[in-house]
Amino acid sequence: MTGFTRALAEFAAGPEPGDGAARHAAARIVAGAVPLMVGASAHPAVERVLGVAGRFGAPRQAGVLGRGERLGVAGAALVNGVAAHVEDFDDTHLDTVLHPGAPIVAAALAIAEWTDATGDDLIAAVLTGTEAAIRTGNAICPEHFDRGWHVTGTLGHLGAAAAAGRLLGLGPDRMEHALGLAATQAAGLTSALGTMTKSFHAGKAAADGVEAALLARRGYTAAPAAVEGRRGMAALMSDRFDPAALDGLGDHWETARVAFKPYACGIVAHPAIDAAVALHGGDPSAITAVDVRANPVVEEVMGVVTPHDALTGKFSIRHAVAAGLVRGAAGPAEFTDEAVRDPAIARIRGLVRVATDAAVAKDAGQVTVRTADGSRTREIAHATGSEYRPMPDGELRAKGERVAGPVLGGRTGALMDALAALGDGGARGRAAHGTRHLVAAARPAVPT
Amino acid sequence: MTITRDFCQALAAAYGRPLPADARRAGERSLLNVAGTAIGAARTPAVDIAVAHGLEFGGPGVAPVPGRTERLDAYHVARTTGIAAHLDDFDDTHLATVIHPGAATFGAVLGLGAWRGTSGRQALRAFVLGCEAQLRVGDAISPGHYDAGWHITGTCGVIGAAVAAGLLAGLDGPGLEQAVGIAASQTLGHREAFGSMTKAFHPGQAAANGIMAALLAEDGFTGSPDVFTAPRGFFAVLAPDADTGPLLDGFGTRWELGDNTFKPYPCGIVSHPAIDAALEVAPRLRDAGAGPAEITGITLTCNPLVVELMGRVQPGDGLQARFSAAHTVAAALADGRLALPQFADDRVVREDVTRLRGLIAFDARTDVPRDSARIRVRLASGAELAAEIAHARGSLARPLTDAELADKVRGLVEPIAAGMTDTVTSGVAALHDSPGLDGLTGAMTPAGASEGAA
Repeated sequence: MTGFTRALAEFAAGPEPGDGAARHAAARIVAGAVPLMVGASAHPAVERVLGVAGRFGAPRQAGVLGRGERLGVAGAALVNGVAAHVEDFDDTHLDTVLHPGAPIVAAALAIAEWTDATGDDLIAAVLTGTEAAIRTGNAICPEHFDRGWHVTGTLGHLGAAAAAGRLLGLGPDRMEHALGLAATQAAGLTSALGTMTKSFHAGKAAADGVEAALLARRGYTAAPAAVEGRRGMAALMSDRFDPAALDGLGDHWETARVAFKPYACGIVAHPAIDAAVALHGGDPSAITAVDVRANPVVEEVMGVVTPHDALTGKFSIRHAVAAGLVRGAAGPAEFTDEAVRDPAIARIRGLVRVATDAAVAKDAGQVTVRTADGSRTREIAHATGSEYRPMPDGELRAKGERVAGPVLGGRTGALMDALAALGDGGARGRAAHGTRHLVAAARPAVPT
Repeated sequence: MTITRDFCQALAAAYGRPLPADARRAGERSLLNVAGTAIGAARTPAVDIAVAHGLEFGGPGVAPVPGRTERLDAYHVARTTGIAAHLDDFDDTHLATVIHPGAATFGAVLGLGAWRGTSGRQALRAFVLGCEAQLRVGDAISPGHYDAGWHITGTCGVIGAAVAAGLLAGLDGPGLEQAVGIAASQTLGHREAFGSMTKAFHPGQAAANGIMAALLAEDGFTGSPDVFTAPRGFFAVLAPDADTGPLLDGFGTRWELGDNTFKPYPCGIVSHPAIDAALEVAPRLRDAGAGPAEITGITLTCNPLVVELMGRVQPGDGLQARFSAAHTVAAALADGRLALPQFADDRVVREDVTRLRGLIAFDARTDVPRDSARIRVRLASGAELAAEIAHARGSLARPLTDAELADKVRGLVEPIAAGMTDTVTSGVAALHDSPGLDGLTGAMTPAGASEGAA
C-alpha cells in the first residue's frame, strides 16, 4: 500500500488536477490572497520582514506585491506570505483552522513569476498544494492544533512545497523529498498569537516550501515516510493520525470548502459578529449586558478580555462583538488602535459575557443584548462566508477592492480583472494571462 | 521577570565579560572539531547542492564555505556550514542530551560574524554562549524530547543559533528574548529524517533560522514573550515534561560546553569502546605474525545499547556501516585504523571485512558501562588476543587529548586540501585575538582552486 507521504507526492506531481469547480475554488483562493498581500504591503511587520529579507541582496527573482521591491524567490514568498496573513483577514478551512492562501499562494506566486508560468499552472499548483495541506490537516487535526501548533505554519510548509514543486515540474520522487524537507520544518507555536511572529509563520512556511522544492529539484534527499513514519510529523505533532483522510484524493476537493472572511479577525468569532452586526442599531449606551454563546474554540483563540491595541483586539471576541454592536461592522477599521481605544466600544466590551458550549457548531453562535427595556437575541446557524453560506464571487471581489484599493488606487480594478481572468481561465481551459501579468498588476503606479 | 527573560539577560551579560579559561578552552576545542568536520564534508553531494543553491538564490558572498572557495551570503553560508559540519555524524556530542551543539552555532557565527565584521573575541564568545544556551535548553527538555522523536540538534540548534546571532547583533536581554521567541517558532527536526540528507539539514537550517530571528528582533519584530514557559510555548508544545532548573543552575561558573565530547571515529558513539579495544588488538596481531585472515573468532563484551543501536551485522554501504558495530570492529582489526576510508562504500562490502563481521559474537551485559568494552580475538593457531577498555577515547572520563583532536582534524582536512591542517588549527587558536573572522575563514579555504560550483 502506498504510504501517506508518497500518495501526497504522486498527487502533487500528477496530471492536471480537478474539474472546473475545483479549479474555480483554487482561483478564489488566489483572488482572496493577492489583494490582502497588496493591502498589507506597508504593515510594520511586513516592512520589517522585507527589510531583513532584502538585506541579503539576493537576485531579483520575484516581486513583493503592492510594492516595487523585488527579492529572491524565497524572500518574496516570505514577505508576501506575511502580508497575506498579518491582518487576519485571509481564507480559512474551518475543520483544520488552516489559512491556506497565505503560505501556498505566496510560495506558488514566487515560483510562478520566476518561471513565467501561466495562470492555469498557478491555479493547478495552488489547488494541489492546498488540497495536500488540508488532507494532511484532516489526518492530524484537531489534536495537532490542540497541542499548540499553529497549523498555518505547520501544514503551510507542506502545501507550499507541493505547490512550488509542481510549478518546478518535480516528479513524484523529488516531490516526496520536497515534502519530506517541508515536513521536518513544520513549525509555529500558538504562543506567538498576538505577536508579529504569527504572520511570520505563514511567510516562513512559504519560503521554506519554496526552498524545499528547489533543493529537492537539485537532488537533496529526505525521509520517505516524513508524515506517517514512526518519528515523523504526525507521530511527533499530533495524538491522532488517520490515513483515511486521503480517501478520494483528486475526486473530492476539500479545497472547495475553504471559506472567506467578511470580518478582519479570527474566523471563529464570525458567527457572533454576524449576530452583533444584525443587532446593531438603537442606542449603544442603553446596553446593560451582552451574552454570547459560542463554540469553546472561540475562547481558546480569541480569549483576550481587555485588548489594548489593534493586534490584541483581533484576539478578543469581546472587542469584535462590541465593535459589531456599536459600529455595525467589523472590517479592518474596527481592528485599529483607534477602534480598540474607542470609549463607546470599550464600554460595551466590558459588558460582554461569553458562555462556551461544545454543542454549538464552529460556524454557529448567538448574541443577546440586554437593556433596561428587555433583550434582543440573534441566533446564527451558519456564519457569513462559511461553507454553508459561501461568499459570492462578487463579494469576494468587493472585499479585494476594499483591501487593495488604498494601495493601488485607480489601478485596483485592473488587478481585480487580472484575478477574475485567472478564474475564468480555470473554467475555459488555458488562461491567456501569465503570472507575470498578475504580479505587474499588483504593483502600484509609481514603484517605491 | 520570566525565566526566558532571566536566561536571555544572563547570556547578554556573559557576552560582555571575558570568557573563563575553561569555557574558552572548551569553545576552542569544539570550534576546531566542528571546523574539521565541516571541511571534511565539503565535497559531498549534500554540500554541493547547498552551495549551488546558495550561488543561484543567495546574495553576494560574505564568507567562503569551509573547505571550499565559493562565497555565499550569510543565510546560505550558515545553512551550508551547518549541513557540512553534521553530515558525517562526526561532530561534537554533548552526551547527556545527544545534542551536537557546534554545527548550528558555528554556521550562525560564521555567517553573521563575517557579514558584520565582528572581532574574533566576539565571535568566540558568541559561539561559546550559543552552544551553552543550546545545551542548557537541551538539559531542560531531556530526555523526553529526544525520546519522543525530535532531533534535538535541530530543535535546540535554532535557539542556540539565535542566541549566538543575537549576541553578535548586539541585542540586550529583552532583545534576545524576542529573538529566542521568534526562533522558537522556527524549530525543525524529526528523527524520521535519520538516514537521509535531511538529518544534517536540521542544524544547517537551524543556523540560518537563528540569523533570521536575530535580525528580525534587531529590527523590532516581536515574538512570543517568555517562550520557554508560556502556555503553548516551546516547552509546553515540544517537551511537556521539561524542567526549567537547568536553564540557569550554575550559569557562568559551570559550563555544559565543558562536557562536550569529540568522536574519534566517524560512526555511532556506542561502538567506540569496542573500536578502541579492536585497535589495541590490531598491532598485536601483526606482532604475533598473524594477519586478519588468521582470525577465527571474535567475542565482544559490551553494553546492550551497542546491539540495540548498532546491531546490523552486514551493512550494505557506508551509511549503514556507520551504525554497524560489527563493521567498526572488523574494519579496525583489518586496517589497524578507523577513519572515513573505512566507511567508503566499496570498503564496506569487501570480502575480508564481510568475513570478520560474520565471526563476531556479541556478549551484551547490562553491567558493562556504555564507555567500556572487552574484546577477545581467537586465531587459527589457537592463540587468543584480548583487550579491555575502561573508558573509551573521547568519553567524558577520557577526553580526546589536544594531540588526538589535531590528528582527527588532520584526517578530515588533508583529503580536502593537502597541507591545510596546520593553518586550520592555528586559525582557530588565533581567533580570540584576531580583529575579525578573515583569518579563520581564510585558513579554512583551500588555496589555488578556482571559484564556482564543484
